[in-house]
Amino acid sequence: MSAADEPIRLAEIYRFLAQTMRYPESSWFHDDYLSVFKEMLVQLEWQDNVNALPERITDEILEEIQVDYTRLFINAVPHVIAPPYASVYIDGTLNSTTADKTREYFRQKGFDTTNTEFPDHLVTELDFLSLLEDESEGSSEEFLTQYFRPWFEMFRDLVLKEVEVSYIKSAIELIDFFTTNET
Amino acid sequence: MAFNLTRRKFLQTASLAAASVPLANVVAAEAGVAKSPFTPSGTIADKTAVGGICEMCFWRCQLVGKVRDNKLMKLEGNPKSIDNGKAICARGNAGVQLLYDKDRLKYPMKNVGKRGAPKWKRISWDEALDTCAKKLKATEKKFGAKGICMFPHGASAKYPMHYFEKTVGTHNVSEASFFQCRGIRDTAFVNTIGTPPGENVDMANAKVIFALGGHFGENVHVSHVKRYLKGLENGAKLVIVDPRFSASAAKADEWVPVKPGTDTALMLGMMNYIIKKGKHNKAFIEKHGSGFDEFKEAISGWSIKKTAKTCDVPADQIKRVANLLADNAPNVSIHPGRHVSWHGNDFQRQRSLGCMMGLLGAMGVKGGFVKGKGPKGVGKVSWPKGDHHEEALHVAADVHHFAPPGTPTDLIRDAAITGNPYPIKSCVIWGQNPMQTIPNQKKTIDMLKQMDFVMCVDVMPTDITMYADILLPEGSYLERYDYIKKGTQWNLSGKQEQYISARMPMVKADFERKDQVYITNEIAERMGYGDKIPVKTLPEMVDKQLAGAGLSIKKLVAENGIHVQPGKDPYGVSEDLEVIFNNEEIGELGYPSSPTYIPVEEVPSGHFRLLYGRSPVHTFNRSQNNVWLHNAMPENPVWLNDAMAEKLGLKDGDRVYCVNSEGVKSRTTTSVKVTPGIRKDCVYMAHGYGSMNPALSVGVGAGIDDQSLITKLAVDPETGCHGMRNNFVKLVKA
Repeated sequence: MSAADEPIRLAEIYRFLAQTMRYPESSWFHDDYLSVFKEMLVQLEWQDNVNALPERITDEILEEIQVDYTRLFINAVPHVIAPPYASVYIDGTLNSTTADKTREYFRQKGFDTTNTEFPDHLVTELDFLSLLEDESEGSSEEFLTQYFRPWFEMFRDLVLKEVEVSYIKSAIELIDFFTTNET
Repeated sequence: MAFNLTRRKFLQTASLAAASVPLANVVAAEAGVAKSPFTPSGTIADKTAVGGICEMCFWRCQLVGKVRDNKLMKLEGNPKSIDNGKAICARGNAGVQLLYDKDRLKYPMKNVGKRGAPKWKRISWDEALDTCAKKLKATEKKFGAKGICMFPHGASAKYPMHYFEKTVGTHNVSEASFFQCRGIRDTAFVNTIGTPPGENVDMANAKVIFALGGHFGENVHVSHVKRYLKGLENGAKLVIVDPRFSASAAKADEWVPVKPGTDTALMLGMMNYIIKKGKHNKAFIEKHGSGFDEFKEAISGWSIKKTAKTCDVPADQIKRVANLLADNAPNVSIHPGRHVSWHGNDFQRQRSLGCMMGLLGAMGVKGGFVKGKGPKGVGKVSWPKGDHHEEALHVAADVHHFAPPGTPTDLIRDAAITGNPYPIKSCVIWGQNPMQTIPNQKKTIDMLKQMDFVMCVDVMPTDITMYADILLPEGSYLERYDYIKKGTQWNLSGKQEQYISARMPMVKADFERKDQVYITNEIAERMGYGDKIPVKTLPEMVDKQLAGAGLSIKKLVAENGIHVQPGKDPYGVSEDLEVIFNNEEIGELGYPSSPTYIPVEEVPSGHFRLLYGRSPVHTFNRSQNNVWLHNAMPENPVWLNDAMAEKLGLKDGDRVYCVNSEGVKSRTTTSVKVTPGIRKDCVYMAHGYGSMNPALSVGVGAGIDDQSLITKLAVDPETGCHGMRNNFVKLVKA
């Protein structure tokens, strides 16, 4: 069996999902990336999502996605739609006690953040999920249930209501699909 | 969408072999989380960050920050402070909320939409700085440095302001703190007593405290309020001249509900009365006065009767207040005011306050006008002045001869809109929100729309940022070094001490926020002024400034953020002090040489004069999005006289719009506060509410934006500063 035929591990999926929520830049947001993203949707048989995506990543398409990303997650008029931080949904501000508790959980599992981003950022939490799964398959369920899903569901609803570009819509739906508890 | 496929099933069966590259090739090599030795939270020590200097308002109290795990938990007054001490106000406490406000600017952004209706795109600092420098340079090349204008505000704006003003060489710089606030006071006093007064009255040791419109308690500057309260505690009589029963008026022995705009007449009437009664300080005037006889003659027509009629104040009260001041002189605090850009006749009023100080000899004595003797040696760091020969707009036009530093705002705005006397095509806005500080928002928008380039640097997405082409996020006052604060103990008669402190970060800046030295230097480098850069970093700048006093950041940290040293007795006046009652230089330039009352427009029938002031929990518009402060005072009720409310059929709590005499209707509504504590001819509201930028998700539309109703411009002829209380409104039930 070739490497390509090996089953996809959940840890890899989480790492990929974290990537989908990073600010899209030409250094990585290119046709190869789009190919993997589309293939993920194909495997899920989400044909409508595939059809809504652009054929190729052009400068214009990249800018369109960047503008929507900025509007949804950074700053915008009208106000930023859905800051990707748990604290905003649980406590109404950034870097609140929810961020503290999230970091505390990371530490209890033997991890910590490595960059300047807050621990309760969507990308950081997805990175953390991938590391948990790397260590032991199935070990991400507790974090998903207790920390991730409570705020992500509110965040997801806001984004899906306001999102304009199909790429971000699909990314959010992918994250939702792979983080939903099936037990 | 085939949602019947489960995650488990997908993992068992799916393959991404059809993709052009493997999954691992398209994800970032580094994750935001990594293995780390376990650190129990209970073992993480709390730290006290010293050297904080508040900038929720511009009084700048000294702070310490309680920091846990690199996160600011709480702010307190620095126990070592001999200024504000351990006390900070509600706004100071709420700095934590500003730091972590979800609406704060985080990354450089480019507007790919329109000015006023922006579509933001996050960009790199390199792209942002390249764009700013390229656009500014293009303007400089085509129109000269004067084609660039700047609206700065706050400590972080000083360094870039000096770059554009001195090195690039544009005079077209206008600070709201001067032209829409206290500049009139400063130049009026310089031309009366030879020095800008600050708020340096020794209230703690006064027998009488006298203020025109000062609403201490609603305007909370901690050490200032400490002086005021100490004075009251010591038995000082309080006189508050205000059309409204303010927090200070509520504590006053005399509340003088003067007709708005006539304060100068009141001052002249009282001074004339004091002179006529022979109660002025003849010895002081003999020694330090200049032009007293001409002044005396000039104000001689202001009888008590005429004053009472002009000011709509009972004659007996005017006499009572005048006698109170004269009988307790010289230990009287004649407060110089702070925000004094009221009616466009303000230079004369401020001159009259200086003259009253001189008339009573209330200078250099306990309770009088006294400047503390602060420490020497703190140096300055600035940009070198280029070889520029342009004149500022007001100098070239031979107007506003007593303008504060910079150029009167309206001259810049008019030049930009009309292209006369020359085009102004690039605009740099740094920490100021001209949409809320400058009257007539339409003109401000017209000015911005004709620009080739607009850049904003700010902490929050204020209204003006909607008009930026490039919007840059700045570290807040809690995340950077800069301001050097120095002075003396708050009670001038206490143990004589001096202090020096420098702003230090409580925590590091999050996201991609940068400081003013980085941003300015990078732009300067790209504009070809790299060889003129005075310092490479903010800490270097602060250390250079401190070196003159034998200090450094390191030494200040070792001293818990504040260096305290023995001080000097501040009382007494210098032999060469001159109080210029009649200033011939002012007269020669075509203005009244002795303080003169210039009448203001009467209130049109069916309208009220719109007055505004401060909320104790906000610094005008700057703090509107702070949810802690917002919850303390969510909107700005409009104060309405009870008899007028009955006449209009309005009850306390009713929702109203305001419509001004030029037909401009407020975008939003607010509640009515029905009270006998305001004159019948005016209404009052706290300024800064009703933001229009939806990016301020807390402050947007909360209360009424009084600035939107200030469409009729009044400009003080001597200074070119705005008068902002000459607009009239009707209340319309919502």
